[in-house]
Amino acid sequence: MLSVNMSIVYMIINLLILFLIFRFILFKRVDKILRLREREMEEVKSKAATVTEEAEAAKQKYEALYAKLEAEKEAVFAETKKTAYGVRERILNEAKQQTHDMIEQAKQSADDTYARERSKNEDAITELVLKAASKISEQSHSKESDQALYDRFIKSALEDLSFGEEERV
Amino acid sequence: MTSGLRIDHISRKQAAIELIILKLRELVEGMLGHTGRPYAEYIMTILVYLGISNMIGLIGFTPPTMDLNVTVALALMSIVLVEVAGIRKKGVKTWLSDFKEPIPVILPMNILELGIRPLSLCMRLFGNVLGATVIMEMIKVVIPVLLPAVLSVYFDIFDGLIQAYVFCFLTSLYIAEATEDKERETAEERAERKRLAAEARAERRAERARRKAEEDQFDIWAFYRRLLMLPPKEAVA
Repeated sequence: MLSVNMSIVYMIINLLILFLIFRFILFKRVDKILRLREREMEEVKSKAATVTEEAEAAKQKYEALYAKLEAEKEAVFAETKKTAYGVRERILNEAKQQTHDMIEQAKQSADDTYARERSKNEDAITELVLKAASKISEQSHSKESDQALYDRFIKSALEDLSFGEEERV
Repeated sequence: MTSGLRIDHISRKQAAIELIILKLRELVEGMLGHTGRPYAEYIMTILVYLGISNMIGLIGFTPPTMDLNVTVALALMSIVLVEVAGIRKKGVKTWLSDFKEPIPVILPMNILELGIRPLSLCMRLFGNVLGATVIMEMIKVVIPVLLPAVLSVYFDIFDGLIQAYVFCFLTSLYIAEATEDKERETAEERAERKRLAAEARAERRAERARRKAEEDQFDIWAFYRRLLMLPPKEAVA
């Protein structure tokens, strides 16, 4: 146990062989696998980075497109709004004009009716006056009969006038 | 054992092997430092060999490290590796000149260290394993049941692994020391250092001369007159 002999040399050789076996069968193979795995991971990472970059570029592109569409939408909306306001103004103006025309027409028609009725009444009064005059001329007349004739004429004229007013209204 | 290793979808056996290798490498490279990494595989082999050898007593075998030849062989290999690592890193000339670092007086001790280091490595390992085995045998003779089982946890497992770790740690330390990147002084730096030292010496010499001249001019009688508040010698004349 305590003697030192040639077995040191054998031991050294054995240890060297053990080291070589460990190195080539264990460490190198495991290291190779780990290295390959690392490389694969790097590739996956780089692919993921590329995909992320592409997605980022596409996102930016679509965001720009969206902004452009949004601006176009705003412009179209503003234009439509403007056109609609114009149409609304035109329709309102036309309606106002039509209403005004109708009112004027109605006024004109009322004035015409009034003038016509008035002329009719005037004719009737004239006729009555003529009738009264002819009757007066035909009959001998006293103060009482004249008074009665005046009253009748006035009454008749007032009735005609009131009828004409009602019709006008 | 390592045939059919795969990159993905690995088996449990492969996962265990990879884990052991990675942890061992991490441990050993931590001890060796970045300059000693090329020697990590040797240290890992020795660590595994010593760990198994020291614990083999658990299954009834005699630990190989109880044989002095084994520990001497291990220590010789370690010290040869340390010196080879030093020579490979620094070159023969620097390696030889490092024997007189940090001061030339240390030279004999540094040469002695070449023999002391392997001797201490092999004797520590041999003594510890032999001691642990002898104690275990004695305990087995006195109390053959129960106690040996409990104590073998310490003497066979703990002590065995600790000794393996200590051996590898010291070897790694020696390798790291032999391969460390020392900041060596360049010729310009040496010349600058010498110039600054010469300037400092010249300044000190000038200061001493100035003081000596002042001392030579010192008039003791004038000093006493001033002390006694007497008029100067010229005024009296």
